[in-house]
Amino acid sequence: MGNKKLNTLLKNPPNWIDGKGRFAETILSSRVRFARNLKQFNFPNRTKEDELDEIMNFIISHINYKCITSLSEFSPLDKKFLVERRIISREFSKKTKGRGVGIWEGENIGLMLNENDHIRIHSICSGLNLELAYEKLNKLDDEFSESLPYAFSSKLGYLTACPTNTGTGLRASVLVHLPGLVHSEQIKKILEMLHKDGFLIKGFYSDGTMVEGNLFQISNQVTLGITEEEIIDKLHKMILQVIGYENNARELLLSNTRAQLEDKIWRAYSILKNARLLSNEEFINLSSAVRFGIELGILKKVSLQNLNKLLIFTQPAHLQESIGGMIDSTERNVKRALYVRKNL
Amino acid sequence: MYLYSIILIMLCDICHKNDATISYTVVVGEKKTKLHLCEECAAKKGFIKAFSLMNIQEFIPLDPNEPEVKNLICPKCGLTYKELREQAEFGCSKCYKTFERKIIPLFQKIHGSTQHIGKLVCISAERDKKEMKIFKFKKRLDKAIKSESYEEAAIIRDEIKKWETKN
Ligand SMILES: [Zn+2]
Ligand SMILES: [Zn+2]
Repeated sequence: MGNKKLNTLLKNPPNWIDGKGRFAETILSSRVRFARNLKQFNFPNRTKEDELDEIMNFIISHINYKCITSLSEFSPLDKKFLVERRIISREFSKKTKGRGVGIWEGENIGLMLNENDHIRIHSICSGLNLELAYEKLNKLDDEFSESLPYAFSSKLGYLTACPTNTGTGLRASVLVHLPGLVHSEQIKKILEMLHKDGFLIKGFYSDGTMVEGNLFQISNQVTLGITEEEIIDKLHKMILQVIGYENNARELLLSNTRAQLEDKIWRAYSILKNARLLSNEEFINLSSAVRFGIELGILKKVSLQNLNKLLIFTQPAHLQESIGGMIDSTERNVKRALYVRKNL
Repeated sequence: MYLYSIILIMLCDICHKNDATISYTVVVGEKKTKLHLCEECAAKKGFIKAFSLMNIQEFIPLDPNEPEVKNLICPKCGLTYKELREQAEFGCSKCYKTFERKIIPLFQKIHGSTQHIGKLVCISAERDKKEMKIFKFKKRLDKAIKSESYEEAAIIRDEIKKWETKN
């Protein structure tokens, strides 16, 4: 079972989480994406399935990038795997016909055809590196625009299906670990500040009310009336500010409650090292404590790279793809605990 | 001390002022959305539509007394004005022209602007460049005047004139 094209993905973690780059302990990745459409076709939401194929063929035949796979080649489990890998969106994974997926450069570059827009291209880098991610994305977009007739107006810029993307079509986001701010209960203040300054923030593992693992995704909200460079620059500066607050919170915690903090971190490590059953949620939360331990220099024996790899490969569809089939949650919890014991 | 996870005390999705005390799961088609509302706003609204749609509908005014609105329909994809309000998504690039007059306030609300100043497409880039340059200069001019940098303002004014007379 499982599409052969996923074999290499199953062997190696993606480049964008290799633990390198600026602030890599605290900032897992920097991601940028463009939403683009073609002038002559209706947007995917107003196109019949067989016409979606026509759009896909048009795009594939006009660009120099091969290896675009039809989404229908992937099983439901494969698609969940691709969602966990951040290559496709959850909404997109529910679709079947007339959609395409492209993965290049060790997963640094990805493409979805006929998602909400005809073309969604993204670029991800490890650590805080929005500039590099944007540079790569922009280059690819330039190439595409030479051969594809983009839907564009001089007043409103790139025309997208959803008005929240109109203009630059650019969404930049950073995945950041903020245990200090959560710990010291300052996070609400930070969320409000970000909101007021026009940024979106949401829990990376979240059902809307609970945020697991202290991982947050911060992104720009405005896409019109601002240049791409300004979007990148503003977000970059905001992230530096957030990191500043996070570091202050950490220092305070260390000086006031060092013993409790160390205890929590070592306990989390011991559970991961010894547990026989680990749910996904429990792993995410304990791994946050371990990450905190690495960041504070308390846990020296765990490498960041290893921890990041675990974060990817312990996800439900990853565990199931690695053994080649669907298993129930109890069995997954056994497999997850085993995998973590072996690899931590 | 919350070491691993937190409960966010959220602000109301509608008024963004009061703490949200009630949450709803709203189902639209296959989409499930959670809504967090304060009691006041919850009382005012029915919960048939997802938050983002609800918001956008408020931004796109529907005046039934305006006869042209009823008949507004995109010649390319067939999207009607009513459908645009319901789904809050355009159906094709032509929709932008079709509903132009009606959607400009929407962009002002969402983005605080109605003029693209970012990247251009290769084709027709020259003409677009002119409009955009002028727009950018005007933005800088405003800033210069506000900060009372009159010398800079004079230079920018000359630049604008230069671009305006360019063909
Ligand atoms: Zn309210
Ligand atoms: Zn249309």
